[in-house]
Amino acid sequence: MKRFILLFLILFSSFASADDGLYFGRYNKRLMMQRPVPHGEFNRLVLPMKNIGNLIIVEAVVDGIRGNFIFDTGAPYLVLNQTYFRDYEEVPDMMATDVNGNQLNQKVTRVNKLKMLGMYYDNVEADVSDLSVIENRLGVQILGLLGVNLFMRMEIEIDFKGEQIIIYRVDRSGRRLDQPYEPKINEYRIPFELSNNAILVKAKINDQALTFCIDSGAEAILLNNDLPAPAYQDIRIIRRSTLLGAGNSRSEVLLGAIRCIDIGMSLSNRQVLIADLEAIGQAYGKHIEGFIGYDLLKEGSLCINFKTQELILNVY
Amino acid sequence: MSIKAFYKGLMVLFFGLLALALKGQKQGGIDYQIVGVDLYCYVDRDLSQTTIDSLLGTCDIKPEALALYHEKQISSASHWQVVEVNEQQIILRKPLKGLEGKPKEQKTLMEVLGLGPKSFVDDYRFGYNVFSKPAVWELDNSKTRFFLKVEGAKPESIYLSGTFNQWSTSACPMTACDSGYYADINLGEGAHYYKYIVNGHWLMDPRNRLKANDWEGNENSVYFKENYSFFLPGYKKAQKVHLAGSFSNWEPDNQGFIKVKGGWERPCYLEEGTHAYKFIVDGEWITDPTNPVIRKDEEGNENSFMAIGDTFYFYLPGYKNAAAPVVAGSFNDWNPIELKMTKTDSGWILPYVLAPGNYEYKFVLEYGHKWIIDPNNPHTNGEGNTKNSVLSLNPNKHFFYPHKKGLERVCLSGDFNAWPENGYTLEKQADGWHIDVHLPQGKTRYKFILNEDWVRDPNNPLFEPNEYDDYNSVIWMK
Repeated sequence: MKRFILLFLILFSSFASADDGLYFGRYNKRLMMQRPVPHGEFNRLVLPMKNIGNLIIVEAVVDGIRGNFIFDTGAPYLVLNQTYFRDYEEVPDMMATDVNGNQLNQKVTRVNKLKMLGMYYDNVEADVSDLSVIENRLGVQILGLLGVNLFMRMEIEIDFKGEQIIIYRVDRSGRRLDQPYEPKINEYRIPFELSNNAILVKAKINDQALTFCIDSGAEAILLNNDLPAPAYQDIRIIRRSTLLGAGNSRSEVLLGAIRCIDIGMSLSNRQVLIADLEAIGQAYGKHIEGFIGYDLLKEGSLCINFKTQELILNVY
Repeated sequence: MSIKAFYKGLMVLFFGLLALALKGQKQGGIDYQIVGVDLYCYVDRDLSQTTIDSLLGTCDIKPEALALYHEKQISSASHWQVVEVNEQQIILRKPLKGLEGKPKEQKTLMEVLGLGPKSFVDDYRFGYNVFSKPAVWELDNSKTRFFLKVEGAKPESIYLSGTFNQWSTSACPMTACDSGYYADINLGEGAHYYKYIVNGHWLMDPRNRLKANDWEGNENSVYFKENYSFFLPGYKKAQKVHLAGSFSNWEPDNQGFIKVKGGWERPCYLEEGTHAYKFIVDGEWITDPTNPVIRKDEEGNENSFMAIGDTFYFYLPGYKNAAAPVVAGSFNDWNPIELKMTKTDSGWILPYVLAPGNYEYKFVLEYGHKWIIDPNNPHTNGEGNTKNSVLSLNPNKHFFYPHKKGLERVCLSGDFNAWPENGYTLEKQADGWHIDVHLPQGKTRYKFILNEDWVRDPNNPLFEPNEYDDYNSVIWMK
């Protein structure tokens, strides 16, 4: 059935105008097709993690090279650090493009094997990008980012306090093959939408409904600069900063404190960054009004089930 | 005092307190506020003009044009308008939608948080182990054994992780033995943080009483690979013996010495270099009776001195008729009188123990009036009066640049020497340019300077972008 749908989509996309290239609507064909199959003798796998600078660091091995990867639910797929994988060959038949069909200046390559303890993937596509800024900020060697598509066939539990990530194989209905999930007293269930591999939830600030991306790489809450006025009422601005980027580009960022944000559970008195997130949102093909990661993860153990498209937060 | 004067005094006090309270709400004299969908900036005129001008610069408003912007209600290039200018403050406004830049990656914005890199092991100059039961010990083959007693069900996986393997979660699996699991590894001298990973869970060593915080909110067990032992003979009737020295900021150690046959002992780790110390026997401070090297400090107190590590011999040829030259450098705050050299047949010499690292130094002649670089050392840093000789002790990285036509000078600049404009000069040899340097553990970025051009290392495939639209070479030392 899945193959039929895929064939239909490919045929349909081929009848689209020449300008659409690899595109079908606002969905990236590459994202649709790239759901690597995890191999390994496990129904439940525990990955020890390290917290560095509010980020989740997990060890993995890429073609025999062992090192640190950022576990990043804000990244659609595997990303390799250009510094260490510069010589990997570009995949000629797969261009990196955004959801509007614009070709990106982005190198795409393929790794033979990606391994994380008892789990491994064969022949996985990966972006090759410059991660030196993150690496220099963290002070540890970062070989890449582990993105969402690596885990979409499973359920993952991120336990920040316990410093571990647990991976569960699930059936077609999203039930764990290991042991069924037992509901807890202190749990919050939050439905999410998957859009171009972005985990999107509804959040509220001062009764304003907003679309947020669950991004484990977000060390603070990130807000767009075009929210409705009431959303900013409960934010106190602490500082305004200008970040310098490549080619003397500047990004203006406001650092503030927000009184309350409701994401299925209420989070009070958090740091926020406000910036123009338009370009970042374009990569996901959706207007994203905010990103949240660490602030949610430190509240409890977070289960992400890609089959049922539900988050379950078990508060510590 | 009249009632009128009293009430006048009260009013003065009230308004004074009110002014202070209002002023206290401002943070550094620059305040931001979002009103509706606009960003307002309130600038206190009490701030220095330099600060105000700098702030206006970030808003693309020239200070001399401030009044014009206000009068004509012009927007700056970054969309700021001048709303109000009076004696107390300047008020600026821009639409929130006018925030500059469209970053493509959310992670780059996190720099604003200032969550920078933390050190993984504090700079321990001295320390020793405290275990409730043996858990880590040195083997005859120079390896270090870590042992974890395990009771109950056999774990599915068990690993040793620490600063010695960059906290790898899978590089060091442990081996089962009678009563638990062990791992034998090569360790350098000094302090090491570690933990065990049992079935994916992080576990501190239950037998190790020493703990340390790694500034990421994690507590770790600490092990010192020891390299020295202090010994005090006699004092059979003493109750307590402690140690204090320059390595502990003269704070007595916690545990004290261990009573052994013939005296008292304290095995420990001590940083390489030269150290002053004393023993404290039942509260009385004494110099080491077995150590003849005693020097007085600035207050006239006598202290014992000892050194650990390799001795480097500073040598200055000639100057036979001169007053004793002095060696001054980054290792002793450029003190021009402390380290006097000793005369030899051919010149002057000073043996000195230094910890591994890179140092700059000069010879000081004529009672401090003349400073010269080492004539026998091809490596220098700086130009003119600020040119110093460079010394690398225990170098762990060799840098090489091949000969090239027109190349008169090759220098090396990077994180390890704070990116000086001139860099450390390489020595010209038959096959190219050479230098040996000591690099710290972790990442080092660097470049060669060819005459005046900054270039990557042609022999290093690792490089990353820098802020000058160029690239730095990258090396990791483990």
